[in-house]
Amino acid sequence: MSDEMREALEAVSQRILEEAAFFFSDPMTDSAKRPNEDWDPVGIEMSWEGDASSGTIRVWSDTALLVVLAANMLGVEEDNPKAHTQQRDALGEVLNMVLGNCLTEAWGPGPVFQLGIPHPADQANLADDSNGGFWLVAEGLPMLFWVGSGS
Amino acid sequence: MGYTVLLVDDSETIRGALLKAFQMAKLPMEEVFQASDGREALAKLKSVWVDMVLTDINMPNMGGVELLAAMKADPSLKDIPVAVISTEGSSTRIQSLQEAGIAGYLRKPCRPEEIRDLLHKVLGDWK
Repeated sequence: MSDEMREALEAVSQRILEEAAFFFSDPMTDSAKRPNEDWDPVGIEMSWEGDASSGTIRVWSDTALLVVLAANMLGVEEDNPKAHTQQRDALGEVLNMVLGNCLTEAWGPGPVFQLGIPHPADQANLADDSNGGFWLVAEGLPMLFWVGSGS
Repeated sequence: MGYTVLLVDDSETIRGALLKAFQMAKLPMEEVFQASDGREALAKLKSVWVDMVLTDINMPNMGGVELLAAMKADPSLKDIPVAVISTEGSSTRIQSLQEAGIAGYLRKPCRPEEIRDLLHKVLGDWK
């Protein structure tokens, strides 16, 4: 994980979760509290390219968080059908907002970046991401961000 | 009478969140049309009349920059105000959008009152 983007993630991700989804989150500082290898989260990935930096970012969310995330973003109750059908889309948009804001945080407002489209992450990346990523606890459940520089 | 707006974003969640924001900001919306990319937006604009287009930049098939260019090149669409709501934070990109004729810009995530102020700025008070 690049230092610039790691620092940006730590500065930006909690704010975006709060502003976009009314999620109050904290860094998971105690690694013993991380989920075990049976954890089966939903992962979303997107990439970016630019003269200043290129790379890939992923988010992994506990499935129990997703319906709350979508409901909060849409301003509907959790039993609203839209909160169930738009869970992955909501997570993708959170990642999109985190990435866009991280790039400005890390590199300033000057550089231009081309952002990709959020898409499902390959579960094979989860183990490595778990070791090198940035863990948060949101609504009492785990969420993991990972960012890597280079195409 | 209220505002008639076309929302263009590939995220159904964002379109839903914007609809909710219109309600929270007590904006007088007469009708809100939706499209999931620039291509779909252009097709929609052939069949409906809107006061304003609110578009994302980064979308599949046709993004917001290409949509803006296509609208400015079409005599029947060139005068419809287009505002951008995006995660884009590059001042270079925003300046180029302004030079291309956008009517306003908001960065995601944005608050309902920012959306209200944008629509008031572009369209004026209640029609």
